[in-house]
Amino acid sequence: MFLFAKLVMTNLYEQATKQDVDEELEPGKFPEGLRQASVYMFQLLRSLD
Amino acid sequence: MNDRRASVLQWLSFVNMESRHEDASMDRHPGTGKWLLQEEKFREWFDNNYCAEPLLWLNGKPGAGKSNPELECLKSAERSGKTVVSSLVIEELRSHLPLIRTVFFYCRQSDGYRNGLVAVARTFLSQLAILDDGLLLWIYEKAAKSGETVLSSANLAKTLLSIALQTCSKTQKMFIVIDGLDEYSRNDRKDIAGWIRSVIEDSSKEDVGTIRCLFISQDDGAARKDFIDIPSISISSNSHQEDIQAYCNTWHDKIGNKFGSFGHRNLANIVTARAQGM
Repeated sequence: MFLFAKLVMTNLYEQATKQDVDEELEPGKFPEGLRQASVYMFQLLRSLD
Repeated sequence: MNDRRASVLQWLSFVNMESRHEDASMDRHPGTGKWLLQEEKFREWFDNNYCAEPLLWLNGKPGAGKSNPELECLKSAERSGKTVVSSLVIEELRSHLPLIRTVFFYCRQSDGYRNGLVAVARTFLSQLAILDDGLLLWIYEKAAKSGETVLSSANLAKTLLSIALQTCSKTQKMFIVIDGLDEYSRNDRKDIAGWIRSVIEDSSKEDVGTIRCLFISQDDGAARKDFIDIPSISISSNSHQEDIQAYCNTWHDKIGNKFGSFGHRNLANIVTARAQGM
C-alpha cells in the first residue's frame, strides 16, 4: 500500500539522528499497519510545529 | 490575441489540471509503472500507427484513503498507486507532441460540480485551445454568441468538445486520460464515460485510433457496468509491489544520504515487505 510506505519513509527521514531512525526500526516500534503509521506521522507533525 | 485568449479561458473556467498532475508526479520514482508500458494491451492501445482498440480501462483496488475512512484527513496527502501510474501515462503521451495531442483530467471527490461532464469538457477545451490559436478563435466566436459568462450548457459543451477533439490533422492522434472516475457520483461517471465512448465510437467508424481514451478507476460495480466490454488492465498486487519497491528504493537512498549507511539492513525491503501485506 502506497500510503503506508509513504508515511513510514517520511517518518524515518524526518528523524533527528541515526539513533532515532534505528529506534523507529525496532520490532516493537515499527508500525504494524496504517493506523499506527499515521499516529507516528501526527506526532511528527506536532513536533515540527 | 492575448485578450481573446484570456476571455476564452475565462469562459471555459477550467480546472487547473497542471497542478494536480504535478502533485501526482511527485510520488513517481524511477521505475514506477514500467510494467504498464510493457503490457501488451497497453501497447495495443498506445501504438501510434496501428491501433486495435481505442479504449482501455486501467483498474485497481481502492486507494488507501478510501478503504480507511478514519484517515480521511490524510486523503489530500495520499496519491494512490493508480494516480501515480496515470501521471506516468500522461507524461509519456506528452513527450510525443506534436504526433500526439493529450487532454487529461484528474477527478477529485471535492470538486463537487453540478455537472461533471461539463467540467471535464471545459478543461479539455482549454487544454486544446492553449496550443491551437485557430481553435481558440473559433471558441471565442462561440463564446460571444452563447450569451453565457461561463460555459455551462451541457449541450453546447458537448458539441464544442466533439468538434475540437476531431481537429487533429491526419498525422496526429488525440489521447484522452481520465483518472479517478470513481471519485464522482454515479450519474457523472455514467455521463462522462458514456459520452466519451460515443464520440470515440463515432470517430472509429472512419478510422480506428484517431481518438483514444484511457479510463483509470477503482474496480467497482459501477465501473464494471461502464467498461464491461472494453479491454482492461488490472494493477495487480505484483506490479503494484514493484512500484512500491521503486518508491521505497528512492527513499532508502535519500535516508542513507542523510544518516549514513544502515549496513546490511535495507529499509526499502523492510517497508515494502510490510506494505505488501495490506
